[in-house]
Amino acid sequence: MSRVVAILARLPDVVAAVVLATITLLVVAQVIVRYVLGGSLAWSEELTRLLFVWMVLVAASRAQPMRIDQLVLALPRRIGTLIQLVGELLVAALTVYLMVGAWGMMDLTEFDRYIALGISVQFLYCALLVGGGLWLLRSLAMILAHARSLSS
Amino acid sequence: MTLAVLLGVLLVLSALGVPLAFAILGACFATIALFRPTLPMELMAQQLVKGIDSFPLIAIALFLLAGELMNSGGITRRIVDFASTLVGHVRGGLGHVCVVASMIISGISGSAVADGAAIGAVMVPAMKRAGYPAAFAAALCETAAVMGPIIPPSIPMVIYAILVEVSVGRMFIAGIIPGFLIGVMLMLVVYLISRLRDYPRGSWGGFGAVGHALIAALAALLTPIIILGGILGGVFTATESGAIACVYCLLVGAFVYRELGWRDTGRALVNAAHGTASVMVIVGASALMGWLIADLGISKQASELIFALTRDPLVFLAIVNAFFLIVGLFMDPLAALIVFVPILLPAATGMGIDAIHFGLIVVINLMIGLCTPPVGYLIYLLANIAGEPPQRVIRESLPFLGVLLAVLLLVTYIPALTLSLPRLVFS
Repeated sequence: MSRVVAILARLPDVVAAVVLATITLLVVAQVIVRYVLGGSLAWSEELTRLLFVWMVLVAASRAQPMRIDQLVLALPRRIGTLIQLVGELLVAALTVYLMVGAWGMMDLTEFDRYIALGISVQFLYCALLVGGGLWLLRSLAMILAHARSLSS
Repeated sequence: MTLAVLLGVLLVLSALGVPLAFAILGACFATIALFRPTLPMELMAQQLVKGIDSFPLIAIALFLLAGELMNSGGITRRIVDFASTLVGHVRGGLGHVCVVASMIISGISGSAVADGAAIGAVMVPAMKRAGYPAAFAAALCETAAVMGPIIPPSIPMVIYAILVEVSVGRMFIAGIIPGFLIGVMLMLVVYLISRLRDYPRGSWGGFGAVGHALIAALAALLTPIIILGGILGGVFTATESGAIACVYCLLVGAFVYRELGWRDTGRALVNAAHGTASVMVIVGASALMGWLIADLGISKQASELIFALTRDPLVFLAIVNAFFLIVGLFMDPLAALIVFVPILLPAATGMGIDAIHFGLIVVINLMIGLCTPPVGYLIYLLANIAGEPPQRVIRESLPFLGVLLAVLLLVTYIPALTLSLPRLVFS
């Protein structure tokens, strides 16, 4: 069971790595097509940008977030943990707010299409919904851990 | 008032250890709730996604990936070997090797922290073995890593260029002279300290050895030339040069040096994705903040405040420098850049200061912030590598910090140092 969870937890990493490799190759392909074949790939810039947004939002849930924790670490342990718990609750609340906003944007952009790709702009905001969901999972795990360490 | 709420909430939240992206979002949320409660709730999601959805910003991921591939592909080591044969025989030899290798690697990677980790991992143990104090080695690697984002390519410069709508290429070129200046002056200080403390020197292996190491490192040394040459010659954009550099580093690491396997490549991709994500969520969050700053007319408030203080660009720049040095003590440089540049730039251009010149001042200043406590990633990174307490590393880094401050002053008051090269290239 815990093995399955461990493998599932790494899935966002695998997705992000594959997407980053694809982005790199797409950008190189763009250069090659321009100089060697003398044409241009109209859809490739739109696709790389879309993939980039997905990569960032999916990988964000696994990346070490930038934060200033010197002050919190310097405080007595229980007070520090309490502050971290409150901070994490705020993160979770903002994430839910973002996800609701992303859902709303998907509603608003239902009929907007990428000019060259031809697909719906919903795919763009869907990334925030998925990324936000992953972020929320991590945030809930942190809240649980802080709460547990407070009650012990 | 709006400015006070926005910055106040941001400061309190980030001091309490809330991840910076969410500290920014929280500050924006509070400001919107207080002053613009009628705004649609989709705004936050929309601005966040729009802030990430940019072709030039993809360069950040690609330059991080190139740096990762360079490290695991054996490129770093060959560059250090080449630098050893070149300057190892001068008094304080390994110190000079550290600076020269950092300079070359700055031309491949665009992040100070990545450069510090790469050079520190090789140079700190080598210098310890040769009898240098570990704290001195760590302090030198730490300050030399600052060249990473000043010599092109550079991640903060990509973000600045997009923020204020100047060309990324021009920003890159403007960093070349200040970056070299830092390198040369660091070597001068290393020489003086080494004479004073009688540090060792290596032996001169002759031009044959230099040539030998040059050939071994040649494939690696071509990387900065491809990146810079491509952008300078208008052959490709910054983003494209990043992608080409990745493919090039991959090929060199896998087929020329044969040190890069599937596993290393996978790890490099994951690390680069993580690094990009932690920067880009902040960029996305600050897109919302930028929108809010424009909507509430905050930069106009700030400009009026500044114009009431002074109308002299020289005084203004002195204030800006002092301000950013203080901010750099406490804040992550990229976050500080994204938060404060849109507020301050209108005042700067109003006084006739070139946006590129202003950008270089801000970037150099904030990179110094990476070497100053209490919030200075580079100090803790290198202290950790050297196994020394951070206080010792900080004390040893004082003369080198002096160099960085001197270059900052020179760049601030001699605009030609930054502006002449872009003018020459793009005229």
